[in-house]
Formats: sequence, structure tokens, C-alpha cells
Amino acid sequence: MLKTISILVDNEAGVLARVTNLFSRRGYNIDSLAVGTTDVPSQSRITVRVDCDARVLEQIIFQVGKLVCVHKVKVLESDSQVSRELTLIKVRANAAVRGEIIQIAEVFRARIIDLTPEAMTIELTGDGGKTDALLDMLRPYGVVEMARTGIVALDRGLASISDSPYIFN
Amino acid sequence: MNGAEFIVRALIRQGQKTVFGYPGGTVLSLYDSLYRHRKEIRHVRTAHEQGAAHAADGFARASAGIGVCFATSGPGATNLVTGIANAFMDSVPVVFITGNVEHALIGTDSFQEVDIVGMTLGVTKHSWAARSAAMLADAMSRAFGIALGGRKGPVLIDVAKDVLEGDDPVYGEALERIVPYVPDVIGAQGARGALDTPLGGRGECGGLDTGVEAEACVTAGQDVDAGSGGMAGQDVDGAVRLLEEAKRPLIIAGGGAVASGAGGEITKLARKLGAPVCHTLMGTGLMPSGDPLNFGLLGQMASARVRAASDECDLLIVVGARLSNKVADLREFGASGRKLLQIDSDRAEINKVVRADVYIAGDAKAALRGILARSGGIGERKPWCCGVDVRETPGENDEIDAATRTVKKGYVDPADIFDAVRRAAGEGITVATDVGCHQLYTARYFRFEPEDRFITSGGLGTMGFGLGAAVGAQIAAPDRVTVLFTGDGSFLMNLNELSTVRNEGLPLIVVVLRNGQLGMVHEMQRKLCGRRYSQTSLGMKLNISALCRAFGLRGARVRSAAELEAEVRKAVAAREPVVIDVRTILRGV
Repeated sequence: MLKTISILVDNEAGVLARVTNLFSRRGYNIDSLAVGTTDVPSQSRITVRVDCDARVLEQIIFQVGKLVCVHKVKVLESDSQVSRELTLIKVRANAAVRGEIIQIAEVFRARIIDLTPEAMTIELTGDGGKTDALLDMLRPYGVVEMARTGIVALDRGLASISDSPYIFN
Repeated sequence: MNGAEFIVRALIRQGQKTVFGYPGGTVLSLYDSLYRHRKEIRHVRTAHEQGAAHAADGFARASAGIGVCFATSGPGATNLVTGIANAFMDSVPVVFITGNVEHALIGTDSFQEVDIVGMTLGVTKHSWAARSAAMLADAMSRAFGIALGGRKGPVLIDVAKDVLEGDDPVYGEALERIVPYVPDVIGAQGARGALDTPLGGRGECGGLDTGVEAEACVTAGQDVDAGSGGMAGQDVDGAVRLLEEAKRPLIIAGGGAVASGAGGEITKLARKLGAPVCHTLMGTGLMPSGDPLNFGLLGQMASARVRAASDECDLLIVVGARLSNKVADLREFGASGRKLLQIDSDRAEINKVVRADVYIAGDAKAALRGILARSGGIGERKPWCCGVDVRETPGENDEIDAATRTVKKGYVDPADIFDAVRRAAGEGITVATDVGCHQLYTARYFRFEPEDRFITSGGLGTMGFGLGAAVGAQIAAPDRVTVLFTGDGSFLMNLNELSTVRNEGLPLIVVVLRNGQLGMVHEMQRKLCGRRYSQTSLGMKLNISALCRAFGLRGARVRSAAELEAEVRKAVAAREPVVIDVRTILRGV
């Protein structure tokens, strides 16, 4: 099952390498990963989505917790989180098909952020599934390239990573 | 004060009197500071950085303190990697300090530049790439605490040459703040030695969707609660309940029990429950071999008694053991419907391979004391012995009996080797091994006495570990007789450290159990490769006595147990090193 794990870490050089090294050497499969700073300048937040069972999830929590650079870990439950991913898709779009593509984008509430005579770049924000659906719609026109940020997520309501039972260093 | 001077003074301030290492270009200033402080801190220069790493490891194990090891950049640093990994796998606290090229050159593939921090990410508890004075000050003030806190392990500080050489006012202030580290006996895994994670549990972690049951936290410095033995917030009651219900409990003791000094508590609990104790390789020597409840070594060398006990028990009490694939039969445990009580200072070890019914994530000694304090309701029980006689003769080797011992002329049976050394070396000795048949034989057959100490490469299985480790152990405990049992393969790997034995005047006793083979692999080839012995025959051509002479040491070839015993007695009496070449047959691993 896909699990969203939020990890609060030191905002320092090498921290991402430590976390990803641990995931790779212990064979945890990363489905999505996103990193960024937080409201506290000394801390960054890593949001990682992993396909794993309960045993591996427990291992991830406590193995990650052993890293000195890790402060808090929280498993975000699927029914009580909000999650978003930003995707940019560049698609071939000449004058003949431009209108169709714009219509598709509108249905998905995606935005056109770049337009040239031959191509169009579309920005989409969603929780993952929507991105795949849009991609399927755009493929026939010729997708040139795409980039995804990886999923970021937070608890709904006042709950936060500070409530986590997994407080480490 | 420059970075190098700061490092040396910080070590002295933390009570470190010995470091191991090897000088080089990027650590010139570090060795200059060592020279300045040579009356306060002893530096042992080995023949090779790998030997220095193993020596620091052996030093830490033998002193129950911390090992420190220096090396230069590039090959100096890469030569440490096996030693770092070895310390990591066996949870040994060692602070490795490497020089690196000037920070302006880092990333340019300059001479003797490697990314040692990157290379060792997976085999260190933590590491620092100190590229500024502030970073070095921070690293030195935290390194000892992290290495010793919770589950112990190695840390690495990689320091750019210009940081070692540059003066900075930050060092003076940092030095003031550094105090000797006092390990926190209660703390489970945590960099600060503090247990500030809710850790109690009743085997309900499978329900992670609803969150692991959160219980009260134990923090460092909290008053020890006499009733719980300092285990407040842990499921001591749950553990006691399991013990009450169990009819045939079996205790498995591992390296974590040794690291925590929990031998006395394990013995007490075993007596109370009438529970046999089996040990992993790393748990060897925790209980005296002569104790009737010490059933012996688990794994591929397990005796019939150990196998019967692990088959028939209804509760497994695992103390500081990771249940690795070397004790594979125990990993099937979950399916059998029997219960598991797990005690480990590393929360990540709980439920890792087998789901625990009850666990305590904390120091083994404190946890067992907590359990003993609350188990007043459990009456003393008679030992259950799974139909196998409890041996009454201490040290009797139940499978190598006199009838099957080697009779080949000039050869000595391993059992006789261990008996001879045991008689001659006295009690309260340090026994180190290398890796191979001789290692398992030592763990299985050597008769350990209460004050003995056993040092081996358990997790990584590093051939060539022994000599360096024994050097470190002998230096840590100069008055103890230190015996290294090694094999002809392992001995050849790092025999360069004989020069360190000579230079440092160490009265080390090295017993080379020679069978002319890489025995362990040879045995695998016999069983799995249709007796095609590819590259595992060493022959007997090496003249160990002549080799030792070249190093300025005494080597002796012995042809009987009596000769061996005499040689060991002579070395012990004279406090002089000796390398003893004894031909033997190692079989059945």
C-alpha cells in the first residue's frame, strides 16, 4: 500500500543523501520524494511516498529515526491528509490542435504557462491521479517532456508533525 | 589554536589517552599537535590504516570505552572503510578522524582526494564533512556522545587540511564546553543517549495505521524509578506476564547484552526461570561456559542441546541480538505460535525480522533489572532441559570427546588446543579471534570463565580483523593476558601488524590454528560444489617462526598440546609476545 511519510530534518548539506542512502541500502521503494525548507529556517521537510507493508513501514520510521539529522517522522493517513503535486508537461501543439489542447487543460483546471508556435507547456496541480489522467489525454499530441515535483502533504486541521509519536533527535 | 590542536585537546579533555592511526600529508598538523601532547596522549602507529581501525575497535571493546583512529586523505581514508564497517556491524563506538584536501580543492579530483563521508554513509552512525572551524567544533563536541549513545557505533569526522591548520577563536570556546561523556544507561537509541521516543509496546505495531501505542517517555537524567528499574514507560509488566505464562522459556543473549554488561542480570533471570541461555557469536563469553544453564552457541555450530532447546521452548527472550540470517531457524519463530519477548537498545531492531509479542526498547541491563524487580510473583523454577542432560562437567566438549579427537602425529585437536591455552593463560583473559573455522570453534568450545572477555568480528566477518583488534585490546588492558586465535588464512591477511606488536612491546599471544585451508569456504565447497576445492588450499609452506624472526618476534611451532601449553606458560610468565604455529584439523562447521 502507498504510504505518505513526512520527515522533519536539519536543513543542512548532505541530509538528503543520508535519507536516500538509507532507503536505497535497505531496499525501500520510493514512489515519490519531495524536499523543501519549512517555516523554521534550520529545518527541511522531506515528504516521501513509499509502497510498503506495515512491517516495512515500522522499519522505515525507526531506521530513519536513527539518523542524527532526523527530528520527527509522521505517517500521514490517506483520509486525513491534503496532498499536492505540481507537474509541468510540454506537448507538441501547432495552430491546428492548440484549441483542443487548451480545452483539455481547462477540464483538468491546468494552466498554460508557455506557448510557442510549435509547443505548449501546461502546469497542473493535483494529488497524483489527475496528473496521470491528463498525461493520457495529451499523449496523442506528442508529449515532449515532463517534470513532477513529487508529492507534498500535510495533515488536515490543526494536526501537525509535532503531534507525531515518533520524535527523535 | 588551530583545528588540529583543538582535536587533540578535545580528545584529552574527554579523557581519551590512546589513539590509533597513520600519518600523512593532509594530517601533518594533527600529528604535529600529537607530538606536542605526546606525554598526555599515546598514539599507536600501525603498519596499515586497516590495522589502526581494527585496533581502535578492539580498544573500545576491551576498555568498554571509545576508540579513536586517525588517517590521512585518499587511500588512508579508504583503508579505514573495512574497519569502519566492522565497527558498525558490531555496534562498537569508534571516532574516526580523517584529513582531506584543502576545502577549495574538494570536488576537483585533486591528489589523494576521496569523498570518504559519502563512501561511509551506510556504515557510520553519523559523519561530518568539517569544512569550517565552526563545523569542526560542532563535530568534536558531539562525536563521543553519538558514538556512545543508545546503540553504539562508529562516527567519522572528515576535516579539510586548511581547517586543521587554521587558527580560530571558536575552538577555545568549544573546548570549554566539552566534558567527558557519561553514557546514559536508560537511554535507548538516540543520538543524545536519551530515550525521548515513546517506545513501549505490546506487539501492536502491526496496527501502525492507528499509530504505535504511545506511552510515557523516559528522558536522560530522569530519576531511576526503583520499582521499574528505570524502565518507566516501557512494557515491563507485559514482559513479566509473558514470563509468568511461559513453561519453557529460552534466553538468547547477543552482543547488545555484552555491550550493556548484562551478564549478571541474564544469569539471575535464567536461574529464576530455570531457563537455558543460548548465545550468538557476539554473545560469547557473557556467561561462563561452566554454568549449567549456559547451553552455548547458536547458529551453524549449534549443539544438539541448543537445537532441542530452541525447538521446544514456548517463549524466546531475545536480549540484544538482531536475529540475523546466521540464526535462520529462529527467524521462522513467528509462524510457530510461540511467544517472543525482545529487549534491544535499538528500537529499529524490534519487529525487524520476527514480530515481538512484548518488547522493551532500552538498555539490556536496565530492562532486565526492571523485569527482575517486578517478577517477585514468579517462584523459582527448576530448569527445563528438553530431555537433554544438563552437562555437569564445566567445559566438557560434548561432541568432540576424547575418542574422536585428532590422533595424526604433530597435529593437535582444537579441543586440546583450547584446553591447553585455558590452563596456561589463567583466568580473566581477553580472547580475540579472526574469522573462519577457528572463530566458530573458539566461540563453541573455548571454556570461558567469569572475568574473560571475548572479541570477534561478528557482523561483518572480517578476515584480518584479529591481529589489529588484539593489539587494541592488549593496549586497552595491558595487564590482562590477551590471546588471539587465528587461522592461517586470516593471519596472512594482516600479519603486517606484527610490527606493531613488536614496536609497542605488547605481550600478545597469537595462536595460529593451521589446517592449510581456507577452512570455512573449503567446507562450503565440499558440501555445495561437489568437492571442487577452488582456491581454498593454502598448504603448509609458510614458515611462521622465520617470519616472526624477521619481525623481531618469537615464533614457535608446537607438535602437541603439552608443547602448546608450555609455550603459552612461558609467554605469560615472561610477559613477552609469541606466535604459536599449531597444526590442527577443523571440521564440521
